[in-house]
Amino acid sequence: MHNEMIRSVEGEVDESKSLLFDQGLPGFESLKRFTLVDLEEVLPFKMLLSLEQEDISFLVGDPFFFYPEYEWQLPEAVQHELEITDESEIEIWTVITISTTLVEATVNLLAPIVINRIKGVGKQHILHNSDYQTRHPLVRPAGASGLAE
Amino acid sequence: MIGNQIELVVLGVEGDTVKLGIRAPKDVDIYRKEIHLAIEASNREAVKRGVTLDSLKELLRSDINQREKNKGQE
Repeated sequence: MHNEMIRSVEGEVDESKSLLFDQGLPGFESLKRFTLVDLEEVLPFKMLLSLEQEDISFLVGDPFFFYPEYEWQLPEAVQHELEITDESEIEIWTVITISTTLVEATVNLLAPIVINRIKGVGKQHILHNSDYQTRHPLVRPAGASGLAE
Repeated sequence: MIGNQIELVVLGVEGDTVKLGIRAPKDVDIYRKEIHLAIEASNREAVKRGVTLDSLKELLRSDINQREKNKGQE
């Protein structure tokens, strides 16, 4: 799967746009260098590719597209860690788990990936004090309103 | 007190130096550890995608088109 990914994004993987995840990602702490690539023109989704391990890639989505009410505070400690001086530097992406169909796909709102796109650094920040979960339906069931808790 | 779970305790004072200790219930640490493990498990599951890249793009495109249609109907 990943080889197919690399072939189709060859030429688009610009290592100068590599992101440094100082602590890696939970479960993948040894992987520090990633890049975000577009899935053609399909905008609220990207691939977070490891630049160190070919077969590691995460489908991520813009959480606000799926859950416009998604909201939380970025602690000062994390702002310092990611050298954030202005809101415009921040990108938020959330990891999507999908096995075969979009209807069953879920998005991890409990641990968003926070990126400082100017400084090229990021981390997966866990919202310990929130009610969000690792598995919110990506496709909200018809008639459902608000975030399921 | 920091919040209602964590207490800073002065252990001693020597001249200019104050020794501080932290009292925190073990369950706070355990809770955060559990959450961290849940994130690890979620990430590991997320890297195992069962769809090919092309069918994924198709799925995503049709999902977005559907959302746009739904918005138009609201």
